[in-house]
Parts: sequence; C-alpha cells; structure tokens
Amino acid sequence: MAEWTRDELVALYPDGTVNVQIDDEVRPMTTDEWSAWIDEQVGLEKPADDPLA
Amino acid sequence: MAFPYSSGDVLTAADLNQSSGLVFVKSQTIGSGVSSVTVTDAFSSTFTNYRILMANMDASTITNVTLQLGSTTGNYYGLVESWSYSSGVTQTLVNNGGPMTVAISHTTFDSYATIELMNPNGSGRTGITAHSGGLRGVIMIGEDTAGGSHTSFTLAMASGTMTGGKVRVYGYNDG
Repeated sequence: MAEWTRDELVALYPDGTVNVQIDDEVRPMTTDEWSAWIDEQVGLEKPADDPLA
Repeated sequence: MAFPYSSGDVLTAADLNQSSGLVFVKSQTIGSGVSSVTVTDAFSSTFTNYRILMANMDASTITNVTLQLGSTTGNYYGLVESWSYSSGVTQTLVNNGGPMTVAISHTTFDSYATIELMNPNGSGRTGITAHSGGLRGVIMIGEDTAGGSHTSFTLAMASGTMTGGKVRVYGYNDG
C-alpha cells in the first residue's frame, strides 16, 4: 500500500486550512502546529479509493 | 414512589431523579476542517459512567478516529479490532499506547461512534469500550490506566480533518 508523503499532505491540507477545536472555539493551527501535524501523518498508509466507504 | 407510576401519581424530584437512565450532559457541534475536537466539562462527580455518541461526522479521508481522556496521551491498554469489507479484520493489542481508536472514518458516508466510559472522573482507572459500524468499523475494549479525574476528552483524526456532525455526552444515572 502507498504511504502519505509530505508533499501530498501539504497539497491536500495547506498551512492555514486546518483547524483545532475546543468546545465552540475553532481556530487555525499555527504554522508550527500545522507542520508538526503534517509530519505525524507522513508514512501513514494511504487509503485506497473506495466509493463505498 | 415506586416505578412504574400510575395515572394521577404526583411525582417528586426524587422520583424523577431515580427514574432517569441516561441523562443528557452536553453536545458539541464539530466545526469545519478540524483535526481534533475537545469537549470540556463533560465529566463530573454527578455521574460515575458515561456514554459518548459521535454522529454524522464528515471526514476528509479514511482513517482512525482516536479518543484521548483529558491530557493523558499514554498508558492506554486494550484491544482494537478493526475491519473493512474489502480487506478483512485486523486485531491490534495496545500495550501502554496512545489514545485509543474508537472509529474508522468514512468519506462517502457519515462517520459515527459509540463510546462507553467507566469512571472517567474518578481517581482510578477509566474503562473504555467503543464500537463503530459501516463498511469499516471498530470494536475496542480498553482502559486508561493513568487515571486522573478527567473532565474533558478529545476526538482526533489520525490523518486529515473532520467537518460537521455532533458529539453528545450522556451520564448514566447512579440511582
């Protein structure tokens, strides 16, 4: 199975587009938070396309 | 007054308190494009055991959805059995691991999960069971051994983001 690369994740979730939420407060991740979040996902298995999922 | 009640009975607060089973505590609408949602003031000494329902969540990708109690990021133990209609069943033993997997997200259809928590606000361990269905799903039996009198929890995507849907918290009446 293919794995997520950093470039793919950055293209899917650019800086400024990912939020974190605490109760009703939704705020964009800081660039440092976003970068760390992207790094956590690099190497994870990429799901296959699945119209039934 | 003993249950069941009859027509004409005058019910007191004590009657109503002992009659309730699951009691709604709070709900939280999931925002747009969030990697995680934290719900505070969910657990208290009012109830010992809780049920959390996550429903109608839209995910950007198929991935694990995890549950973290309070600020506890380790000391979780248990078994996660996950399945996919297309790739079969996987069992994963969690031995002093991170937040437990409680669901697998769907992209074409809504994602949901049912989570049962035993004693999350107590000082001891918290028992956790969860299940989620669909064409992919999870059955999880586990425990947070760190304890810590939790009042909050966080649902997070292992990858990608979630949008919409609701998280509802209920307490089991201790009687």
